[in-house]
Amino acid sequence: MSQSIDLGKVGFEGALSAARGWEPPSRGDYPHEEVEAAFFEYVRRANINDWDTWADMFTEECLYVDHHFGTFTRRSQVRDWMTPLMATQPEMRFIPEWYVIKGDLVVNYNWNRWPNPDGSHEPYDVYNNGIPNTRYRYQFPCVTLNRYGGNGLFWYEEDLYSPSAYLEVLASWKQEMTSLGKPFHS
Amino acid sequence: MPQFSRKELETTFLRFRDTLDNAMASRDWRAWADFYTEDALYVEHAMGTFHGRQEIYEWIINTMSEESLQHIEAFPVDWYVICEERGWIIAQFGTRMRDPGDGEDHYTYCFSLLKYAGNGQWHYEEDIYNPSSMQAMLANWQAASMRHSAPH
Repeated sequence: MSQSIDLGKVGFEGALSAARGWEPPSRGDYPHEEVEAAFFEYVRRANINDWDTWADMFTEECLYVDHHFGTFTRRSQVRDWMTPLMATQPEMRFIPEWYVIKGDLVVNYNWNRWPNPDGSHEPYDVYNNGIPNTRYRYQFPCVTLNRYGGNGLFWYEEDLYSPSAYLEVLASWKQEMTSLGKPFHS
Repeated sequence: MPQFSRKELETTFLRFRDTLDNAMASRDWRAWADFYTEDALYVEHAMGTFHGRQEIYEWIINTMSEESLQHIEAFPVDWYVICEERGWIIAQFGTRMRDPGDGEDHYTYCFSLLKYAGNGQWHYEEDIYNPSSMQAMLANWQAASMRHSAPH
């Protein structure tokens, strides 16, 4: 069976899971500043290769829908999936292009990015580093939707992106790194 | 100070939604394409990037005439967020198929960003979704349709 069919089945299941995630109403009326502070902390933790710490941004019971990797319903599941996965791609970073907060919802349009193989435009892993995002050659956009649940934690995440873009960008980046004789870990 | 009012953004978006419904019913996509400025940029992450209203129009009529898409019932708006500061609408558009006879919901969706240009038009749209998910939904629908149209 081809990989595209498998991806389709996982993605389709993800869509159904996500639909259920939109049913519960907001868990509270949170100040904009509180949601934004939690979001900034989330972004910080997503870019330091410490995914256990990042997973701690979720409530014990949560709904995490990744349209490529599947659906997770507890913080421990999110951690057990993400920590080993990201250990295999430590150069990957998650840099917001923009975000919008509306009530408990954060819409985060972020670049899933690898460094330019020629070493240009560093640091590549810092939000608002003053370097136009168009200077980075190996990245694809992901729309991340988070719903905030108080106490600095999120109870919902959904990642919407094209898995084939992800696989293509990563493979191309590895190829160029290899051709330049640069070491990498992904 | 935002350039456009929340009301103007929302009114345009709701008209756009209604026009999409009408285009689905009538198969006439001209009024829908007229929501884009002459020089609008449309980034469809799975199908390509289209420059200008005419290219957008030609793409949509070609796409919507594909056999596999003839059984789409609607593109409902699941939710939308108005970002007045930037003049943007962020929305999730569903794709819902007609009931193939199994009573199941054959449904997937797409994230869309619309940037407003004034005069009831967009100058930018970007659509992000999982293309494999769309393909799987269409394949599921096809299989269900075959099952339910087969003689018993």
